[in-house]
Amino acid sequence: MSGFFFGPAEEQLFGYYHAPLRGDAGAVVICAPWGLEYQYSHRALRVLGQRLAACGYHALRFDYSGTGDSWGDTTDADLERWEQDLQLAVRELQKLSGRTRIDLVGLRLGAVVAASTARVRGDVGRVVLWDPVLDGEAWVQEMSGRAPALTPHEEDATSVALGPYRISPRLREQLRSVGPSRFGPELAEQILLLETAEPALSARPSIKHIQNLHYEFLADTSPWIEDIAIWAGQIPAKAVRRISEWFLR
Amino acid sequence: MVSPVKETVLNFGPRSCLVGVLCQPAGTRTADVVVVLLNSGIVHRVGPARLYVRLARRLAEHGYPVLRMDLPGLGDSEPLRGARSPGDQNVLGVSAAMDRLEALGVAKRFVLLGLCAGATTSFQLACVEERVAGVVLIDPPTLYPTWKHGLRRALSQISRPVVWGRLVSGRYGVTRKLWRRLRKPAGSTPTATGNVTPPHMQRQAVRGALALLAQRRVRLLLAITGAQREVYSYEDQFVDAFPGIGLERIVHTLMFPSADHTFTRESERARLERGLLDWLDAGAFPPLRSDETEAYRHRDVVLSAEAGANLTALVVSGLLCLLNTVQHV
Repeated sequence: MSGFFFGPAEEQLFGYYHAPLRGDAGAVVICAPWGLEYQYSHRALRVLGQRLAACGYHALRFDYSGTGDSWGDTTDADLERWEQDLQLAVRELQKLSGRTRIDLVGLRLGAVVAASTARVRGDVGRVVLWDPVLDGEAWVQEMSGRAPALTPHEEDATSVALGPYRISPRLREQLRSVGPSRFGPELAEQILLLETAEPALSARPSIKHIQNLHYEFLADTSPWIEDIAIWAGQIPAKAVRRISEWFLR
Repeated sequence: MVSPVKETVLNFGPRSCLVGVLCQPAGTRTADVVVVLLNSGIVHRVGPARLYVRLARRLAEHGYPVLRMDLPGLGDSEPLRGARSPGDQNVLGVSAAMDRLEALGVAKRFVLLGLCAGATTSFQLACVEERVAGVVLIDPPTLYPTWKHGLRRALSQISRPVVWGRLVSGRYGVTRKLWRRLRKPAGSTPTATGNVTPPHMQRQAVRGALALLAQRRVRLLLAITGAQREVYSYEDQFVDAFPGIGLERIVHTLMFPSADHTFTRESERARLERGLLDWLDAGAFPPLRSDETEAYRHRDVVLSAEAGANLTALVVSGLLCLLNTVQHV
């Protein structure tokens, strides 16, 4: 396992490669959520990468532009840029693994990026949509409520607040527009929609009707939500195991 | 002067199992110190809401190399093998980072920076790692009261009629709390939060550690946000809490009353960066080996000061109990 930078020299993206511990079962790019959801779920996605590597997969985690260790400020980012970043990550994993067909796992907003990119590429074998954001407007509202009460963000023409982050007005509009129409049967040959969130959220939009989509509900912890006791999300052991099994079957 | 920065991933430690991102000024030159950012809680090396990423880039733009590292078992770093305590793991992990940075010729002296729990880790490491020349503690979780802090808090509350009403009605339970405080065994001095502190952060232990840092002339920058206003109310409180060991020569405090705990707001982040740069630019980091004569002189000061402090501790403790109860409105 190792961390590295890839992409253009002036706009480096951070990646973390989990080499397969045995065999050569396939290659998976893991698409992270954004913002606090990214911060809280970092541990869980690391465990997922380790689990996939233990099952014989090449796994690559990476940070989008303006997130994590990658280049740029949070105001430099937008959804289209992140889709381009995922394209770069796919190419990087193709080089690392020697495989042409790459599978994708996307958690929360990462599922939106994975779906958009898979649609453009047309050569993605399998996609796991893990608790995807299906209602962008509601999600933006929820994120906005997570700003510290003491000091609300300054806003200006180039940046607006979303929780404790400053983002571009363009990205906020893009995020608001996220909806079920971003997901369709053309994304990949096989799609797993894995939902673990509480039933209270069941009023959200659904994409279960998509033809080649296999839906599963698995009662498990939500890694993108902070557990106050540990200041991070918990590890969803059942979901991690199920995703690995689905790829292996 | 602002200049471009370059970032590289650093794998180090046994089996290269530890991970960090080194952010350096463009061009190769040896710096006086490298700033090492340590995890805040278990948030990985980017820091809360990317605080550390931005901080590292700003410092590097102004000529200071910065390593954002994951301590063993956190972020992308593996735990170190062997049945060692988390404290030992941290010491070995940070020492391994320093070894690697020295081997790369980046610098030989280090400044440790941590927010919240990261501040505690930085402080503990500074006490045992002689290559540490400076420590930056941002909102450390354990802060210490002084009579002046208690008085300031009490005066700020005294003009509020609701406080008097509650005091007279017995709602604060002043008598009960005062009795409980006076019965506490020696050595369990309360912190400003009134919380029970772990042994290594109790006042006497911290006092001894600070005396050591003062002997080594390790510079200490304390950054306190508005989130601490209940427990830290004036700039010199930290120095006043540990009198007689020469802290005024090594401690510098920056107050950020409008900032939240993780410096969310843009203007507050900029202020933190500016304050940190000014402190680093002030320079005068100590040489690697401390002067033994100076160390002995300070040890004598510590011992005599502690003897006098013990006598007044009980009286001050009781007074603080009374004042603290008035603060909890």
